[in-house]
Parts: sequence; C-alpha cells; structure tokens
Amino acid sequence: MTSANLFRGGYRSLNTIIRPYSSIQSSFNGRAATFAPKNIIFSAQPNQFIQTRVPMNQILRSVTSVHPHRSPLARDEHAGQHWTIERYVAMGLLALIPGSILLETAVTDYLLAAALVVHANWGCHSIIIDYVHGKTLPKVVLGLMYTASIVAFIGLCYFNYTDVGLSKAIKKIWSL
Amino acid sequence: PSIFNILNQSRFVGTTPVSQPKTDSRLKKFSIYRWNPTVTGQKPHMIEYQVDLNDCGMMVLDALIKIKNEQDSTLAFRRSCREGICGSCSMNINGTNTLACTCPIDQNASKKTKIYPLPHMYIIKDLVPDLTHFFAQYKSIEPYLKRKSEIKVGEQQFYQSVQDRAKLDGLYECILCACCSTACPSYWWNMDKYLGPAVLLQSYRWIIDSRDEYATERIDKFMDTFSVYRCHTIMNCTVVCPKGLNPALAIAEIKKLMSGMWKMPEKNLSLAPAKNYPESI
Repeated sequence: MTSANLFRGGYRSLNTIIRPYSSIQSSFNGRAATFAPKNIIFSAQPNQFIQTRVPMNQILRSVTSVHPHRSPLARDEHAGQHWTIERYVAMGLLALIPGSILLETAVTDYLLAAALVVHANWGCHSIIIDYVHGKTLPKVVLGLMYTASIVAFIGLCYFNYTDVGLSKAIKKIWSL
Repeated sequence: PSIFNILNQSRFVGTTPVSQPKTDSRLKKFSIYRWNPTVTGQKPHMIEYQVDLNDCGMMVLDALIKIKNEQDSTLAFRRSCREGICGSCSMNINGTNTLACTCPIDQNASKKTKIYPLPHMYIIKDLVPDLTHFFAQYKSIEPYLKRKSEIKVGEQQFYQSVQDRAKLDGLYECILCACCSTACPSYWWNMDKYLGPAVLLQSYRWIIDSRDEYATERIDKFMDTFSVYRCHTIMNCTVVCPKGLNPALAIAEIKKLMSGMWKMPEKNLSLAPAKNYPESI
C-alpha cells in the first residue's frame, strides 16, 4: 500500500490509485515504511451525489500487520545460520527420540530434554512471529513462551534427576 | 450477356446459408463478487448472472466479457491479452487463483461458478485488487542485471552459455500475475514484510543469472526474519501457478544459499564469446 492515502482500513480514494508509484520508496530496507500513513488525503468530491469517503463503520479492520509506526526491517545477521541449526536439531531429534527410548541412558535423557525444549521453543517462536502482530504484543507473548520453555527444561531436568528418567517415563505411557 | 450473367450468378451458388438446427440454451450461473466503494454504505455482495454456454467462448474471461457487454456494464475486472501471458485477469475462480483467460468454464450447467478477487487483497472495485504493494516489493529486489564494472550500453555483450541460460528456465516465464503470492497464507498474514513467492522467484532468477555480479548482495539483503523465512513450504504457490512454475522450489534454493552451506551460483562475466565457439554449444 502506498504510504499516502492509507486510511485505517486500507481504503484509498480512486483518485490516488491512478498514480500508484507516486509514494513508493525504492530503498530495499525502506519498503515496509510504505505502510506508515502520512497525511490522509481525500480526493475532492466530484459532485454532491457521489461520495468518495467511506464512513467509519464501514472501514475494514486491517488484518495484516499494517502498523502506523513500522520501522524498516531489522537485520538479523545470523538468520541463515539459525535456520540451518533449526534443521539440524530437527534431524537430530529424528535420531534421538528412538535412540533414547532404546538406550534409556541418563545422557540421552538430558539430551532429549534439551533438544525437545529447544525445538519446541524455536517452532513456537516462528508461529508467534507469524500470527502475533504489532509492536509490543509479540514481545510479550514471546516472553511468556520463553518462560514456559525454561520452566519446561528445568522441570524435565528435575524429572530426569529425581525420577525414572524421560525415556522410561515415555515407555510407561504404554503400560497404562 | 446471358452467359455472362450465368457465370456471374454462379459465384453465389455455394454461399446460401444452411439453416442451423435450433439448439436449446445451456444456462450457467456465475456468482460474482461485487463491491463499489464509491457507493456509500454498500457492502461486498455476490450477484448471480446467467450465461448461455452455447453462445459463449470457452474461458471464464469470455463469460465475464459477455456479462459486461450484455448484462451489467458496471462489472469491473482487469484483462488484456486473453491468452495467459499478461497476467492481468488473475482472480479466484471456484476457490483457486488462476487467470480467467486460461480457465475453462466447467461445462456442467447445473453447477455455479464462483468468482472472487484475489484473496486477502484490498479491493479497488469488484474483481480489481490493489497490487501496488506487490509491485513495490518486486521493485525492491532490484530485478535487473547488475555489474560491478561500468556497463557501456551498446558496446559490450554479456555472453551466456546455453547451459547457463537453461538455469533461467522456469524462472523468467513469471508474468507477475500475483496468483501465487495471494494464495500463500504467510503472505496473507505478513504481506507487509514477507516478500511472497512471486517476488522471491524473481529474486532467485537474478541471483542465478550468470551475468549478474551481485548474487551475494542480493542474498544478503534477505538476512532478517521476514523477507524469506516466513515461507513454511505450504506449497500453495506451486499448486496455483497458471504458468506451471515452481516458486516454492526457488524459495528453497534461496534458503539453501542463505544457510551458507551451499556454494553460490557460478558466474561467467565474459564479454567475448568462448574461444571454441560455436563448438562449445
């Protein structure tokens, strides 16, 4: 959406749509800044019979993360490496889950606890980034999720230490 | 004169129209999304039109044009080439994003054809979506050849081998119809920051072009959480592409290059033909 004329719900008067590239920024990092609405301009009313304004109760609530104060995309230097490690952990889990159930050692129990928590954490991170939009709400939800991950890891380690161990516990489910 | 007359009139012997048998009309219902933002208080709604399939071309675009010509001239839709190469008439037909000009009408007259605009796009009117942001994203990837040394236009040729040119097959044919991007759920939820399959396909087209020197920089510009990594291989893009392209594969190749574990594509920056040309073909 071009920056000018972006009314809250994204309706743009027809007059401005005819010149679509008038307010596009050409810098790569600035592309998201096109969402920042500057002055909301309405076209001059052609006559008294046709109104080109949309009344407030008809404005579609924006469902994308069209946010008035978006900054250019934050660069993540290690995004590529992080993605790679995520896939490695997933592949590792593929071997670790049957492996630890077979071996039932303490080392594999702790490794399994760590790998599961880390895998779930990164997975939930992606989901939250996908669906929770805005400036502060994603940070809040991510904070909650990280807390849950840490608690889960501590809980699993405690279980491994004091109780039968993760792999034995999983096997016990079958004997229920 | 009489023989002249006979010869003259014999021209018309074979031109008498043969009377056609009267065929029944096969009426098909088209349920089309309509919305006119300049009419105060109007909400988007569906209007049903009936079209005689015996008097209509094969494709959905033919039906739309027929409806606009004969029944409702206020129906707004984009169209240009009518042969699937311009990408103007992309819309959602019976739940799938395609080009109306290459989408055959289901000849079963008892079924309704439902026509909607491309999903999750702001609508200018009826079936016309606002593709400004889509094209702004395309512009942002710098979809043109970039060289590090100065290009003297008209004085040099950038040679490309047949094998290198073959790498562009499946990438250059994109007509930017936006069917794939508007079919991607990640693009629906994050279209402001996620580039979408169409734009990523085109960025890959320039990354692996053997004549382009800026592959590393192009990849480097994607180093953030949104531009590429909102793709979760949902694969809707490849399913709907009306040109049969595979944007999901291109995105996977971009991810491979971004991981740093695969070699960057080889470039050939020569300005002269190969020494053993034409045997090198």
